[in-house]
Amino acid sequence: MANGERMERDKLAFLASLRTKIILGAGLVLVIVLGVFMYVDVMLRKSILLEAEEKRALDVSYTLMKSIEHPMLDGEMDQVQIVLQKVIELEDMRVAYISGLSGAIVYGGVPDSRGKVSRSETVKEALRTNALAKGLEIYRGEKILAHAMPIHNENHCFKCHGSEEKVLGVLLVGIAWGPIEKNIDAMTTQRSIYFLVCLALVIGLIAILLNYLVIAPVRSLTRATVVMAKGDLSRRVPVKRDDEIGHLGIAFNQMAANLEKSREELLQAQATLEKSVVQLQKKTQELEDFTYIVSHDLKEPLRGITSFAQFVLEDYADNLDQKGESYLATITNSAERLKRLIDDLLALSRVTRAEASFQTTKASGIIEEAIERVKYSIDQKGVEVVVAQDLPSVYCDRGQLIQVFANLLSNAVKFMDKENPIIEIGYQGTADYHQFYVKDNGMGIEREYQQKIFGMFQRLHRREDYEGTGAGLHIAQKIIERHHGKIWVESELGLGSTFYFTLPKGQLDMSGVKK
Amino acid sequence: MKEKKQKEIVILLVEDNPVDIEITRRAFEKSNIKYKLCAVRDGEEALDFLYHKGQYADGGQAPRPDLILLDINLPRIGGIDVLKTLKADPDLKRIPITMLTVSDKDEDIIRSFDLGVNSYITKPVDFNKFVEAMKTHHFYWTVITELPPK
Repeated sequence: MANGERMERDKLAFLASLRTKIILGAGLVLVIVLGVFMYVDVMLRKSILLEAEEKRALDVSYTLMKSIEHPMLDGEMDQVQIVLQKVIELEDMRVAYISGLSGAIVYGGVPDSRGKVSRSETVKEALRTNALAKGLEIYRGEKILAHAMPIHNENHCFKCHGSEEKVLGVLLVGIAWGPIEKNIDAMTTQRSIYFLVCLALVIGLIAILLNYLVIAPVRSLTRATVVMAKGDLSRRVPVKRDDEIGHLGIAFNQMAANLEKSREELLQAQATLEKSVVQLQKKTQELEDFTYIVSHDLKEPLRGITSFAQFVLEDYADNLDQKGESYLATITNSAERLKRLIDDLLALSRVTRAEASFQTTKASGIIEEAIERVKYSIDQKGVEVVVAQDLPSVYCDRGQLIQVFANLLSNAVKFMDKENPIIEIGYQGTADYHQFYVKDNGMGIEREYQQKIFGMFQRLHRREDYEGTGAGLHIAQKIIERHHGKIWVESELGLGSTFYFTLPKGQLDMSGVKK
Repeated sequence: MKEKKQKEIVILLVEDNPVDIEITRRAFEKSNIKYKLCAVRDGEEALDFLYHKGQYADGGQAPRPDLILLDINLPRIGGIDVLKTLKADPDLKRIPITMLTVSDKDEDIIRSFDLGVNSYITKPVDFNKFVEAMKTHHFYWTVITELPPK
C-alpha cells in the first residue's frame, strides 16, 4: 500500500518536473512539424512516382502510335497486331489494344480479345472527350493504370477511313499497378522509419541539451538552497557559464555571501551584547554590593557619633551653654538624618539583593497590611482611605508589594493639604496586566517633576516642611521593576495625584520568563 | 532568686572598637545589675583571657566569665573562630555566648547558631535602643536564666 502510494507520488513528481514538461512540449511540436513534413514528402514522392509511370504509359503510347502508323498506311494490319503483342511482352505491360468508336477491340496485344467490346471506363472517357484519359481499373482481376489515347483522323488516313470522323478509335495501354503500389508503400514505410528515427534523435538531443543547460544547474542551485535553508550559509553554487543560469548562480552566491556576512555580524553583535549584559550585570551587582557594604559600615561610626553626643548631653549638660546645647542638637539631628539615609539605602539594596519569594496572594490582604503600617499617620491626619472591592489575587513578592502600597500611602498622607482628605485605592485589569492605583486629593505634583520624583533621594520640598529622605518612590519603582511592571504618576497641581503601577498577569519569574 | 540577683556577674566583652566598648559599658551602667565588665580587644586576647595565657598567665585579672559578648569582625582571630574553639572545649562550652555584632548577614547568623551560639544581637545605631537591647539581654541571662555553676 505504502509502496503503491510512493510510486504514485514519484509518478506525480515525474510528471510535474520541468524536464518532463519541456520534453513533452517539445516532443509534441516536433511530432506535428515533422509529421507535416513527412506527409508532404510522401505525397510529393507518390505523385512523382505516378507521374513517372504515366510518362512511361504516354511514351509507350506515342511509340506504339508511331510503330503502327506505317504498317497501317501500308495496309499491313497483321504487323499492327504483332506490334501490340510485342508490347504486352514488355515488363509490367498488361494491356495494349486498339478499339473502334463502338468500343469493340480491333487489334489487341492479347489475340483472343479481338472483337470483344472494351469494358474500360478510361476508353469510354477518351471516346467521349476525344482527349487523353487515364485511370485505375481492374483488368482481368488485376489492378492496372490505364492510359487511353484517341487516334485522330488525319489526311493520310482519309484514304481508308474517310474524312467524316475526327477520331477513329482509341489506343489503350495498361501498366500493372501492383509493382507501382509496392514502390509507393516501400517508400512510405522508409519515410516513416526515417521520421521516427529523426524524432527520437531530436528529442534525445533536446533532452540531453536541456539537462546539461538547464535542469542540472537548476538542480544544483536547488540543492545549495536547501542546504542553505537548513542553516549552512557557507555553501556556494558552482558557476561555470555566462548565461542566465550562470548569472542566477552568481546572484545566488552573492546573496549567500551577504547572508553569511550579515549572520556573522549578527552573531558578533549578539556576542558583544551578551558580553556587555554580563559586564553590566556584574557592575550592577558590584554597585549593589558596594551600596550594601558602605551603608552597613557607615553605621558603626554613626553609632559612635549619636551615642557620644548623647553621653555629652547626659554627663556635661550643666557645663554647656545654650549655644553648646544647640550645636550638640545639630550633631544629633544630622546623625539621625544620616541614619535614615543609610537605612533607606539598605532597604533599597535589600530590594535588589533579596531572593525571589514570589507567591500568589490576595491583593486585598496586601493593601490591608500596607494601611496598617501607615495607620498612625493616616489617623493623625484624619484621612479617609477607600479601597475598591473585588480585588484580584496577584503573583508577587508579598512583602515587597506591601512596601509599595505603604510607600505610596505614606506619600499621599504626607502631602495631603485638604480639609476632607481622601485616598482611593483602585484596580483596573487589562488582558495582560493588573493595574492598581493610589489616588489622593492632596497638593499634586508639577508636571516637570513628575518623572523626577522616582529618583533616589529626590525631594521636592524643604526638609523642614516635610520629613523624609526621598527614597520611598525610588524603592517602590525598584520593586515594581523587579516584578516586570511599570509605575507612573498622573497629577494636577493643587488637585491631587494618582500613582499607577502594573503587574504582569501570569506567573513570571525574576528574569521575566513565564512559568 | 533575689540572692542571685545581688550576685556580681562577670561579663567578658570581646570588641576591638573602643567606641563600642564605651557604649556597651555605658549601657551596662544603665541596667540595674551588679556586674564586672572585662573587655578584650581581639580573639587572641580573648582566648588568652579564658585560658590564662600570655598577659593573663597569672590568672588574677582574668576571672572565669558568666557570659561572653563576642563581636564577629575582630583582628587576628575572628569571633566565629573564638566561638568554635570555646564550644569545642569541654569546660568552657557551658559559658553562654552572645554574638554582638553589626553583621546581619544570614551566613554569619546561621554559622553562629550551627556552632552553638546562645544568642545573636545586631548592634542598633541608636544608643537608647542599644541600651534597651542590653537591658533585655541582661535581664534574660542574669534573672530569668539559671547560669551553670562555675
